Amino acid sequence: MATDTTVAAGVDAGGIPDPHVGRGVWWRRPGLFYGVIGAVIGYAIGTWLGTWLAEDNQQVQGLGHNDFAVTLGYLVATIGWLAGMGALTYPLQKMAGLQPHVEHEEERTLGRYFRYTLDHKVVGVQYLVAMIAYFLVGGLFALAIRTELLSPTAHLFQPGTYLEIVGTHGTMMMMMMTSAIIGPFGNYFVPLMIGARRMAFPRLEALSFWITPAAFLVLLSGILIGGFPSGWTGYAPLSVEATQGMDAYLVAFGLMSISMIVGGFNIVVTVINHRAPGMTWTRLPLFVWGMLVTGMLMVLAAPVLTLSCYLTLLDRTVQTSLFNVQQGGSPYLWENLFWFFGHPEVYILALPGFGIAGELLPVFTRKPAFGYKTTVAGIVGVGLLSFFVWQHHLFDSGINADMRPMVMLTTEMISIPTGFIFLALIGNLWRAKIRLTVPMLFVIGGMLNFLIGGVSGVFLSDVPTDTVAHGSFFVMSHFHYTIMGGYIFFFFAGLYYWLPKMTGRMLDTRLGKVHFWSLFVFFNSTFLPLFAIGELGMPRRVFEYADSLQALNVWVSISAYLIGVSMLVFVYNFLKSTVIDDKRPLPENPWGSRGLEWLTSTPPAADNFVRVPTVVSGPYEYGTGAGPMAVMSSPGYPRVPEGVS
Amino acid sequence: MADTKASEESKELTDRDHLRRIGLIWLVLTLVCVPLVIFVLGPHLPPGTDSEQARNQQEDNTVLAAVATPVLLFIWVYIGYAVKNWRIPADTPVEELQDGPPIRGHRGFQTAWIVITSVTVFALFVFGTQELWTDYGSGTGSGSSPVWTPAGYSTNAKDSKLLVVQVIGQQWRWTYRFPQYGGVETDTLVIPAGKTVQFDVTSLDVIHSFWAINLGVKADANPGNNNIAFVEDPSVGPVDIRCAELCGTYHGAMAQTGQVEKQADFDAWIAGQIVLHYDLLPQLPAYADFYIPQTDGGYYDPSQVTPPAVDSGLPPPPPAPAPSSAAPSPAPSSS
Amino acid sequence: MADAMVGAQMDEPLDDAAYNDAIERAASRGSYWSGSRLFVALSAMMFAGGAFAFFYLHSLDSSGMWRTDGQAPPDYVSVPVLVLTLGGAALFWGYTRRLLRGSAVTTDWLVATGVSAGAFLVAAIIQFVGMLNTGFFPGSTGYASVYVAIMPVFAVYCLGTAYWLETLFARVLRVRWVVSDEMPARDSMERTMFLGSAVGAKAFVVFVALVSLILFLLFSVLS
Ligand SMILES: [Cu+2]
Repeated sequence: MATDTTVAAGVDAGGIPDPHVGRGVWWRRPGLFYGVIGAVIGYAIGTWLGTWLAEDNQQVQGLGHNDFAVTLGYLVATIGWLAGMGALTYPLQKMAGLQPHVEHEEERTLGRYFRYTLDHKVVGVQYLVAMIAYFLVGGLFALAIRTELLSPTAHLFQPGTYLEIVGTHGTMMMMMMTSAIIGPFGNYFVPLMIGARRMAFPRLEALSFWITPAAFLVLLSGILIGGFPSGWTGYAPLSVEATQGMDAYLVAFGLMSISMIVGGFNIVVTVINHRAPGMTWTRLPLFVWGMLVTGMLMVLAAPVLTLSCYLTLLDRTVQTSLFNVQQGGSPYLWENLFWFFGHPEVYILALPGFGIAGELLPVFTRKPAFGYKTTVAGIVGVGLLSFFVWQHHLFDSGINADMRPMVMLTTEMISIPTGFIFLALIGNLWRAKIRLTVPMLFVIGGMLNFLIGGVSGVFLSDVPTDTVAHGSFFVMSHFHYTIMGGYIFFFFAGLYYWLPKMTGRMLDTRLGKVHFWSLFVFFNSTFLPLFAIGELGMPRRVFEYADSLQALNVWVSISAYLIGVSMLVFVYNFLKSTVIDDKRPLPENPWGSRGLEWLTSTPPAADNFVRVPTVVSGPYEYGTGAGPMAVMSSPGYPRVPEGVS
Repeated sequence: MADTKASEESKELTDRDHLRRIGLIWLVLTLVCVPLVIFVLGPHLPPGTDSEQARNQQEDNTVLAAVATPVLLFIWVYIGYAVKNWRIPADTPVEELQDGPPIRGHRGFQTAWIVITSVTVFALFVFGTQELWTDYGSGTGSGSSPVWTPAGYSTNAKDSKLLVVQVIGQQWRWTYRFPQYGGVETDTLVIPAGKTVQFDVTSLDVIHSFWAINLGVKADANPGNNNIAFVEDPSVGPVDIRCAELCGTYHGAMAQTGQVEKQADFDAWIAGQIVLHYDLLPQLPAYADFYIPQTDGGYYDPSQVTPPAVDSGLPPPPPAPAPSSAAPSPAPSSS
Repeated sequence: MADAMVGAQMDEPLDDAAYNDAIERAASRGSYWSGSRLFVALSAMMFAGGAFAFFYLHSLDSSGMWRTDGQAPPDYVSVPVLVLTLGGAALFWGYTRRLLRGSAVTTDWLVATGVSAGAFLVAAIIQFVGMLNTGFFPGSTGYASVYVAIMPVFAVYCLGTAYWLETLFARVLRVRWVVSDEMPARDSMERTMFLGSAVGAKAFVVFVALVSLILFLLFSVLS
């Protein structure tokens, strides 16, 4: 038995080095290269297995498409991909009774961004780049949709192709973008903001990230095998009857739900346990509150999505009849399960944004957070209520109508905690020193957009008005206001605000302002008319519409292209600041923020803090005469670590 | 806020002054905009005035828009006022930044805010819920046992005093059955003006949604489910019909124009349809809850079929008279 | 917990490394505790989705096809799975409780954990093989569909439990001191992580046993 228990770099007490750690030639350790090889081999094995399984299955032969082969191909490819990246090494070592340690690479090599790296800051950057890429790809699909809708009749795409584009755009945005804030900023900043040197389970943040490329590619590859006709909601029985492309949707969404569970789980456990001494619940930054509740929603809602995708795959492969009304199933089973996940998901796409807004407002108004406890109550209240409203998506579905009053009540009640968050906005601005920096512009813009999104939601919670709006472009516009207008605006706010911390480089302010104003104007000129288009009778996901709506649709399409141009400005700005022009001076704390994350070096060292800081005041004590938020490294302070004894 | 010292650049104005100014701008705008919403925008709001349900929904849209307007205006005015009066240059160097007044909250303001939002929400809830027990919500598909039903409603088409139309969705078309007219099926929708019509919406394959836009009717069509929606007092004119739930490749083209006709014209039309399908009618059931494609090509699962209403006093299946005598007597509820 | 608290008895200031270590040990201990509970919660949500499918389709009884008379999985699958999971859970729970109180001998615990892991593994295998011989076609009724859908998930959970217990077993087999009294450094991170994992597994087996019991009641007892 080993007696030396010093935690040497990556060396277990049994003397086994952790393969993730230490220097080595790229081909001698797990990484992207082996991930790709693993995926290819896995796909071959899975497809072969599926073909073999279905060889003498009459029903599969009759269908003409073998969903066993596609599904298993995707699943085994994902396992191969993760194995090649090194995700299975640790579980296998555990089986052998080893206990590898987490050790961060001191060297800032480019290579660690392409590996199964266990530093939450590397994972944050990986997420950031990947999420921007996913978002831009999803956006291109949106532009394709708007191009088709330039004319009231089908003119550019085949109807089937059009639906593939609509479905891929919707799914890309609704499933990949769930992690657009919690992935990059949650992983990067939650430990920094609570004074932790690492996340609770470092391998989980790497796992949650490396699942996303697999999900993304599986979803995109669906187009190659016929796409899926069901939109992002995947209603049965259409999803059961669809061809192989549907398997791509189900596997990708299932994978992404696992990524959400894993990522959210890690954030929740980290916030609960890894807060530095003195970081009490009432000093917890509002962004961290947002992340905590979002993580909680992911952990509790996403398993139901995993289950739903799995159930549909079973109906498609082993011929269960869960959604088949003739054999004891019901399409409503999918609608209920899906929206039980789907409505919390909507808040998974809203709360991170509220967190960023709450975090940034005090910084750019130079005031303590207004109504801190009310804001927290708002975030938690929205999270709680979101589990009880899902049936408002089923108002005219034909299920038993007795639940409607309850659902209407809970749905409208969500306005109350959401109102708390607007209260914070109002209060923060009162007699403030408002600095309209680029992040602040995005916060205010996001709030204004979300306001319209929220108010239009009231029309959907009320049964008579929902009759017109349901399933129309009105709904589509409503949730684009909350997600694109709110969530994505807050994402950009966070990006402009925190990128200096992550990379040591500021994004260009003038280009940032061009980006904000063009996005704000063209976003509104795209989506405001869509409310009218929907109310005037244009359903979602159609390629034909009434001639009378053409003028409005053309207007919307042109505005949508201009959103694309605005995004190009951003991409140019992003690349210019991070890659092209890297001689910019590195301001330590360019916004004059009190936040704990700004008290470390820029960019932060491998373990964040030399010594776990002791938090001595809240993060938003502007103008109260409080000193710095934390004591960073005074030797011998405190003598006995708080919360340990 | 009231307890805070005013900052330098607005020393002359107290909290109360600011609040009064914001309130005044808001009040003026509200007094201008809300009547505009109610009286100018309201009458033009979708879904129009072609039926009682449409009128109700238009009224409801107007009410909600009128409630939403002051809320939107308040936030806009407030943010505009705050940004105009309390901004400092965005590029102020960090060292020169001054802090704002350390206001952590304001009990009165927060309480008022919470009370106002809660009262609004509960008022909307009460408003919305009482509508479910009236015909306001009846254009929405309400499942097989609706909460509100019009006079003359019966769970069974035979006894119903309403005109029952079964709307059957399939990829990618609509079929309309008139069980009270011998189960005649048509592929266009014609209903009589001024009557109350009950739509029994179902599907043969995937989920569709029957959206008669200007009648204020929307009901999902689920296989094996009967989803009931009502329309009262439709007025003569075309009916825009679209499928509002994604149902596969040609979902986007699943659109149709129906017609609301005067009673006499409707009678003539349905008589013509009966004549057209004269040979087929005796073989069709008058009514079926389930429309399940059978291997022999029919739609109906025999075990689920309600027997044809032979002695209902309703028209066919007719004996074999001359086509002119096949003209049906109007449905019982007609005047 | 048998793990000694560190730091409380220290008088002199800790250097950075020792200070960070002490804090991270406390955090790790909490992480395992709350992590295992959270994992139980998310698994419960997933199984609740399955239970919802069961009761929802039961109440709808679409086309009268919820369940044909007497349709049930064979008892020679369901009963052994129930017994093995309940027994395995009880064994591990009891011995780990004693271990954490310091009243178990390591060898006792090791044997109990090994047997328990084996029980869960066998339960998983029986359940998986049983899926090939249910006696009904997956799509024959709503009941059959829910059974065919949920039981493999449960078998995966049994497999996962077996894996978790096996890691504890293997760890102790390799470095006996993580549980024994002769541990050289009582405050080592290894010990914290091992005990955290054991405490988590102790809660998790109870959950799996509960799920096993509920599934048995739903599919084999209720009719
Ligand atoms: Cu359709």
